Amino acid sequence: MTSQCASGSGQFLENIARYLGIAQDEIGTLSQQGETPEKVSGICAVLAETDVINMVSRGISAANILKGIHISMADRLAKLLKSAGTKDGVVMMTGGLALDSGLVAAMREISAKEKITVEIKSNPDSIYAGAIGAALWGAFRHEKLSQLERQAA
Amino acid sequence: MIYTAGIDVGTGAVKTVLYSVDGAAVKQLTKRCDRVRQRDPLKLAAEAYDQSLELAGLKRDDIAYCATTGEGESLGFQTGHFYSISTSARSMAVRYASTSAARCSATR
Repeated sequence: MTSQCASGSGQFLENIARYLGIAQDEIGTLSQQGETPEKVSGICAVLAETDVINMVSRGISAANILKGIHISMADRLAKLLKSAGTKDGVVMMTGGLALDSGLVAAMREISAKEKITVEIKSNPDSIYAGAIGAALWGAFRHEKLSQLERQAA
Repeated sequence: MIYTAGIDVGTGAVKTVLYSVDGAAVKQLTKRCDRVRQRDPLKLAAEAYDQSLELAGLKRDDIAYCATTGEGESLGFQTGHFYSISTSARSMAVRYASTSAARCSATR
């Protein structure tokens, strides 16, 4: 995950769930049961996948692996929030992973730990955020282009 | 009133929405999310777009602006492409006016 792109974090979590033999719907609840999470690389999915394979061979539970992944992602996101100068207000999570209750819980936990006093929110339509925003920007751009055409005529 | 479309081509899924926009009155007509599952995402996006239009009783020519985001820039029928951070932030900012929108998308 970089400051610009989630870099397939959702796909990565899906792959890990398949590797651990658990359903996608279970990821969030299972993660919240993790008590001693093992952190993974928050930047490189290849390194993180290697980390997970090592954890499985060491007998780490699926709950702690998933919680570790969520905490690592939340750590990275909290750093991004800090670098953006976010100190308070509401932060909306978007994308498919915003529907992952484990990541939302980890995000709240890390924000509190890092003293970032924001309210973390998610929305049932989070996965559509990109498409919805594109349609709305499209309407905006269409209106602007129409205005320019009218002025030029 | 105009109709617009938004297509987000992600790594794992293609998300397609249709809207009617009449000034400040914005209404969602359709939304669908199709898992890629080893299919060609661009072909999948075109199918999802056409099926959404059919559901809404519209044709491609009725759409004033077909906007893409994510990996959708290569779609031949798109009117314009928008950067993912801008689109995600826009949608949440509109839904939750006066909130700061940050992006934590993992669909790409």
